[in-house]
Formats: sequence, C-alpha cells, structure tokens
Amino acid sequence: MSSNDVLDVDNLWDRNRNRISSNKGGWRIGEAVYNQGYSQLEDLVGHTSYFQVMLLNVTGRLPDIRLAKWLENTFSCASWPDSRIWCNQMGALAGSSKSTAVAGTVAGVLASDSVIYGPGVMDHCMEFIGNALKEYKNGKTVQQIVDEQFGRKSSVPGYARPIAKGDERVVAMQRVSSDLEFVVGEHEALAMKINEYLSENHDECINVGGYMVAFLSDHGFSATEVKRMTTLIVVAGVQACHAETYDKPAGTYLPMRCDDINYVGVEDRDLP
Amino acid sequence: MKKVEEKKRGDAFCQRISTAVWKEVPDSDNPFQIAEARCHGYEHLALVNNGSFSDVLFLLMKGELPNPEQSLLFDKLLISIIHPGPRHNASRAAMNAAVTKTNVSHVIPLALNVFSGEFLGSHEVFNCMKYLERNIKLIPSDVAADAFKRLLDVEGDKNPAPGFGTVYGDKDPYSQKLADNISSTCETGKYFSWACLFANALSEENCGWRMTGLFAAGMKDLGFTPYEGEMIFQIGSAPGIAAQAAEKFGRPITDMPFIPEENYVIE
Repeated sequence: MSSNDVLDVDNLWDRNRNRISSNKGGWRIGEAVYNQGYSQLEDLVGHTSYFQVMLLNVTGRLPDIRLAKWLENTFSCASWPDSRIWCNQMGALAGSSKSTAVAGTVAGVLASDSVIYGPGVMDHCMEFIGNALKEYKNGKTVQQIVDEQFGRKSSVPGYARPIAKGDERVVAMQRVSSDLEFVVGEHEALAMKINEYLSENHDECINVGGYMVAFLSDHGFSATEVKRMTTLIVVAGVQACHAETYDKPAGTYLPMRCDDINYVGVEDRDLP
Repeated sequence: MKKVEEKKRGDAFCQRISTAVWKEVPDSDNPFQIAEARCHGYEHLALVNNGSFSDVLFLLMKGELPNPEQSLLFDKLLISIIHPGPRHNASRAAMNAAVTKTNVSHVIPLALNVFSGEFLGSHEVFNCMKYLERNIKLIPSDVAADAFKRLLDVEGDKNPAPGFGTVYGDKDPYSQKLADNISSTCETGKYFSWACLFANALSEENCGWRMTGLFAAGMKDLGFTPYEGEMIFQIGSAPGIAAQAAEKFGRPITDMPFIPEENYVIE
C-alpha cells in the first residue's frame, strides 16, 4: 500500500472521500425520505404547502402556513408576464429561439441574480434596514439615517426601483400581511417611517423588496436565508414569457433588421 | 400605506442597440439578412481564413488583434486552463448530466453554473483581478503579511487572497508549475511579476498560486477587465468540461458513482 492509499482521519478531505454527511436529510431506500426530522412523504406531503417545505429546506425550520402563504404572495408580486422586464425577456428570447422551457426559465432566473433587481438585491436591503434599526434605537433620527446613507451611496437599498417610482406591490403585500393577521414589527415600522421621509423629501418610495426584507427581519430570518428563499421569485413571469414566444413562429420576438443595430466601431480595414 | 402613485421615471432609453464589436451589412434583397460581417473593422471571412480562434477572441474583446507576444501569452493562458480536470465539481456535474441523459443543450450551461463560484471557479478570477488592481502599487510581501493577519481560522482551505491560497490543504504544485511555465515562456507584465512575488511570499504559510490566480494575473497584463477575464475563463475551461461530458454520453448511470447507503450519513 502506498502512502497515498492511507486514510488520514485528521484530514478534512480524506474524511469526506466517498462519503456524504448531511444534516438536511436523505433517502433511505425502502424506508423513508427524511427531511430534517420529518418523514417527507408521511409528515410533509399532504400536510404542508410547497412553500413550507421550501422554507424548511432553506432554513431548517418548518414555518406555519401563514408565513408560507405570505412568501408565496411575494412570488406572485415579482412574477409578471411582461417580457420587457429583463429576466422575463431571457425567457421570451429563449422561447423564440425554441430553447426548452427549462433552459429559458433558468436563463431568466439567472438574470434576476442582479444588483439592481431580483433576489440579488435582498442582502443589501437587509443590511440597510438591520443597521438602520440599530442606529434608530441608538438615537439617530430617520433623517440622519437617510442622509448618512446618501453620503455613502446614491440610493437607499429597498427604496428605489428601475423604470418607475412608487411600488403598488407594497400596498398589495401590506393587505396580504393584514389578511394573514401579522402584526407590524419594529423593522417594518421603521421601514415605513423611512418611506414617509423619502417620499416627502426625495421623491422615492419603498419597493416590494424593501418591504419584504423588513417583514422577514421581524420574523427572524437572516440575509442569507432571505436570499435563498427568494431565489426563484421571478420564475413564473419568466415561464409565462417563454411559453408565449415558444408558441409563436421561431425568431419573431422582437426581430431586428441589420440596420436596427447602430454600429459605432472602427471603419472597415484590411488584415495586417 | 393606502395607495401608491406609480409614475414613470422617464428614463431616456435608446431606440437602437449600439455596438463597436460587430458590423452587419444588410443584404440588398432582405434587410434582416447579412451580406457582409465585420469584427472591429476586419472582414469576418478574412478572419475565418487567416486568423486563429484565440486571436479572434482577443480581437472581439479588445478591439485589436494581439501582437505576437500577446498572442502567445493569451494562447498559453487559455490552454493552461482548458480543463479544470475530471475531479473539478464542474466536470463532475457535466459527467453526471451526461449519464443521466440530460438534454445536451444544458450540459455546458449547467456545468458553467457550477464553475461560476468564488473557489476555483470563474468568480475567483474576477475577484483576483480586482484584488490585483487594488494592490499592484503595494509591496507583495507586505500585502501577503497583511492577508495572513486577516485570515479566518476556519476549517478548510486557506484563502489569503482570491486566486491564491491552499488547494486540498496545501500549496498547489500544479498551479505553480503552470505559472512557472508562463513566466519562462511568455513575455508577462507587471501584474504577473507582482503575483509571482506575492505567491512566493505566501509560500511561508504553505499557500501559493491557484489556477484562477495565474489566469487573472495574465489577463491583467493583457489589459482585460475583471468582467472580461471572468467570461474568458469560462469560455477557456468549457472545452475540458465538454470533453468529459461527451466521453460519458451514452454510458449507463452506473458509470458514475452513487454513494452507497452506508456512506450516506443522515446526522
């Protein structure tokens, strides 16, 4: 046996060769599928919603049905069938190229991992409202918090959106929160105070991401958990846009003539 | 909030896409079709007949063909990273997709998603190029000493800087060998020289080059941005990943390991 064949139990990589150790769960063939203390098929399927299972998988905690319903509604808020929205356009372009629904949908989800919209912005929003609450409790005013943020950056995370000012989805989600009998927590209360100040003084309003992270902070979720649970938040909008263009003749979604491109490069030249 | 007034920002969106990369001259009968195409001024067909793939890739990104020294360095960098190896997570993803009959259209995209990470993946190249930009004016040994001071005491590989550290617990000898080869056969610039000194300083703590680091340093010397560098790293490593998948195509699922029950521990 060469020295390469000896298992070094103190070596992290040797210990994990040909071995999986999971605290999430797994399939015991002929026995059950276990998911963090639950039998997936006996305890979860038929008793919980898909969003409850998704939250369990992401966070390790099975939430009550109200929270799962609340999160599901945020997905509805972010999944519009408008192919001008960038992530949706990936789905539409893929459909028009006759790419599969999976390819088009995944392309749109990848596009939403952005720092100007989609799940990619969630941790910045979460960081802002978390720090803002600490500062507010330490005696800073809303105006000071906002002014200091504008001193560092050109915008306040969670309080602007591309294309439009104002976000009707916040009102819709507040209605959902109320219907599900959620009480306004301290992050959410501060978020709305900041919204009031910004709309009066800077012509900007809270967006649905800003509202979501404040609500989810009040419910004890971390930034990492929020980013993970919102990974697919735009997915249904992308699916709609893929389906629409896939069902039309190939290449007819926003076709372009050659001169629809504005060439701004160097003049024609010969190879050296 | 009772009601929100949504109003358009009135952004001045362009009417047409502008580009300096590619020019398409319309066909006289059908304006959607191409009569002639040019890449940064050079006729596409002339490039097809006279250019190499790596030179035209350089042209696409940089706007000019590389000089002979740049061409040699770019080509050697691309071949250095042409295959992350069959053990790399991206290759294993591709091979698993192949034996499980995943739609072939998805194999490279899914493997490149796996390949996009900050550890031995394309985003490590991006982060490394940024790191080199930030530190190029500082003394490499000082930066290395500072990096070790900030090093977190966590289980796993040491990551003193993106593109540098340990791989499987030790300095990576193969990345060192590839970096030495680049140094001895190509004309590199200030970034690669700085990174050599940096890697040397890191060796005191059993750290050194990673593949991502040597690619990043070379790309900086060639004048690429981190954004371009990450994308070219993905393009450059795709052939090896593709070859691993192609080899497995048509093979049964048993051609890849499936961890046995006794080795799958539910904690």
